[in-house]
Amino acid sequence: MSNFSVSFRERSTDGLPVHVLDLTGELDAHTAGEFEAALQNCVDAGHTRLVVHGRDLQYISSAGLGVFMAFVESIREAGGDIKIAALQPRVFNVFDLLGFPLLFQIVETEDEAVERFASAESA
Amino acid sequence: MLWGTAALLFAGVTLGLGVLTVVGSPPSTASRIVLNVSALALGVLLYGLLGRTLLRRTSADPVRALWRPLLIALGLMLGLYALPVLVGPGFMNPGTGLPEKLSMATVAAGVALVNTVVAALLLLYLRGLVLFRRTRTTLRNWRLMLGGMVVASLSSVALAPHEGTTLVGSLFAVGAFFLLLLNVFRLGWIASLSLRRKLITVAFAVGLVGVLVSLLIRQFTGPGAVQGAFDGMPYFSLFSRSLGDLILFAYGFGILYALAAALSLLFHLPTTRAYAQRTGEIQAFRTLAELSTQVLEPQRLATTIAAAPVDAGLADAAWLALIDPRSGSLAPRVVAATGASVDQATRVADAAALTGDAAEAEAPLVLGAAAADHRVRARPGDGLGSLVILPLTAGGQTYGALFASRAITDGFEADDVGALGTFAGQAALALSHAALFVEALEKERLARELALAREVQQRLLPQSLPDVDGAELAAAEHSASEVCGDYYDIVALGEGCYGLLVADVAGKGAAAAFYMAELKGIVQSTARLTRSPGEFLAGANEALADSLGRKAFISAIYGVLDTQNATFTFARAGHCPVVMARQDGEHWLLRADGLGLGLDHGPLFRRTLHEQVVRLEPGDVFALYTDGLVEARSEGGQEFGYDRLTEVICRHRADSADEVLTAILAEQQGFAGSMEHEDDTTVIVLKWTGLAPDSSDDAPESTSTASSNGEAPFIIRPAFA
Repeated sequence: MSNFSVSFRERSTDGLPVHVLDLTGELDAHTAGEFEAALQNCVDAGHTRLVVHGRDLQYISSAGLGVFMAFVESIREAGGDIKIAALQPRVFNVFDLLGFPLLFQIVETEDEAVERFASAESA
Repeated sequence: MLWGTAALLFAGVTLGLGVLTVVGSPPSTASRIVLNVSALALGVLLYGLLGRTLLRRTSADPVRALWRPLLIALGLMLGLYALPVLVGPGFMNPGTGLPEKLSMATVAAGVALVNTVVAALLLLYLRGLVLFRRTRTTLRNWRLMLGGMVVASLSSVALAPHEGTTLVGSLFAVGAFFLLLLNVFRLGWIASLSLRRKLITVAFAVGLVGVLVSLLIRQFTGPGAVQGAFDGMPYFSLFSRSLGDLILFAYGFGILYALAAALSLLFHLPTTRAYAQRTGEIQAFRTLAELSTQVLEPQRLATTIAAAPVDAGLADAAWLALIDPRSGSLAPRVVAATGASVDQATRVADAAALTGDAAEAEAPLVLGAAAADHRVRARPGDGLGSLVILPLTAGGQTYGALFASRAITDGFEADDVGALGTFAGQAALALSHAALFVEALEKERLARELALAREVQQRLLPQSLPDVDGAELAAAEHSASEVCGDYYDIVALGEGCYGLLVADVAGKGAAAAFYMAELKGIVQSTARLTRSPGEFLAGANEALADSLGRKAFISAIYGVLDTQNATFTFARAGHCPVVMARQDGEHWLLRADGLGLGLDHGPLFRRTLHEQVVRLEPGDVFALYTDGLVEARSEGGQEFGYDRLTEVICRHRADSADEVLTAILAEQQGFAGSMEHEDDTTVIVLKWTGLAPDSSDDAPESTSTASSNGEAPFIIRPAFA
């Protein structure tokens, strides 16, 4: 009864490929493994510029947040980043309580997140 | 007593015969009848006595039942060779039908006694075979035959040894013969013999026929016979005509029965293999059926399954390939083999491919010419002509496959495959039972360990809360699973200060419990070193940095209640905000900034951590809790949320800390209804009642702060300025 899914999209900004992960449903201890596998696939394929798009994410638990923590360090070391976009207020509140805005760039829209890769590159 | 009667009868007949011989005149009919009836009675009595004493239990072992009488009859025959040497040729007086000399009468008596015993033993040994799987009818037929023999013998009680039979006597003899035939074809024991035993039994049966026939020839014409003016006659008939007839019937039955047995055995020889196979199948099947009801060590079960087709004669070699989920591979591995080594079995056939194909087809895979199949890698020396692969599936799960091979090509008939299929079904059932059992054991063990972990964890939580002057404390912890990821503690820091900690380890289960234990250690060792919540949490973050993995983190809130200065100062490491309610109904969610423990191991944690200081007023109520409280869901999927929590606290703000706690939990419970708690829930309620005013200038000042300017009664400051 997994009510969680991840799908991939590829975009680019200034010629840089950016991979967007669309999260749908509830990311909790039961479904965290799925998200983990998805991120692992990205890392294995050498994708390091990732945007997690959370418009359809209904819920996230601490186990789901743990997945971000598990990958962010190695992705940043590889020169990339995970940016988080378009979270619903209730989900953002969970990120915010834990202090994730201090660790991740959490932005309003997917476009903004993608563009930030370009600006980061030029900066 | 009976033996005495037999001896008396024998002595009487011998004596009578002796007297008549000495008298020399033709005996009267009456005396003949008396002697013959007595001799018959002796014969019947001996049969009964021997049956009771020597052969109490009739044995259906055909080899024994045939070779014992064979040996006894052979002994008698050898004895008869010695007879003429001992007594010289004997003659019968043709006029009287009596022995010519007294010595001959004695010899006749002796020979008759020995023949009676031999005939009785012969009947008794064969009885075991005739009555194999007896029914009421077979037992009746056997008794009828014995009765018929006695009756037919009785018909000659008035006759001299050499006189021809009367018509009545002949009719009785035909009747007895018919009854004899009824019993001759009771040969049911033959089918169950193995080939080797059949061959032995044929030899003994033929031998018995030969010995009995030659025994008769010897006694009628040879050196054991009474010589006279006519062709020879047996001594036992000279002793008593009727007993002689009875002995002849017994020998006749022995010859016919042994002959019938020998012929029947010869006809049965070709079907022995099929019979043995059928019996083996039944046996092997029974073994497997028993297995499935027993609890077994997996290797023994596998060995038994692999042995079954070979034991049943259905295959030259058989092996079992099983999928071991613990090996992490779905490829089946040969675990047991019969008629071949496990290594050989592994080498000759691609177990993974064949099992997969058979399981997919859900039917036995029959390779008539195994060597031609690409999945078979047998060499000519391996003796792999044909191969049957039987998938082992039970309850929708495939456990592996049973392989059965024959050295010849096309070695499996349709009914062989059918029988093997039955085995496979039974084997799969046994395997599934074994697997279920192992699983149940494992579950029980885990449950026990978790219960133990839970017990230990419970002891890590405060067993009692300190009595605090000026404040009330209440705490509750509810675990969603056996092992909880929540932790709380309340420690007295000295000088009227108390540390309150609520923490939630990300994720649940055993790992969470370990972090909780570590946190307990940190609290016990470092909490008393500082009054600054920020200092404490920063220290905890650094202490935990090494042990927390990359994706593990802990949200925590730590507050210090200073009863002397009437302040409650706390810092929040990524944890749920504190709910605060005042007696005037004002309420706040207090959430000073701060990262979760373990999210940043460097200076970012210290830099972002803030402390919030609340100036307490009597009646202030605080709730520190974990997210399990606010994230509890209703049946409609709604969250309990901060608003409901704040509302229930405000509603009960005048009550004691205990009552507020009870009200919060009841409200949450009522909201969630029948929904299971998905997450652990921990709540601490702190209510500041205020110290008895010992310095009159403190209290008015603090009340005026809140009521006069209406500003928030707290300040937020960086923990590390």
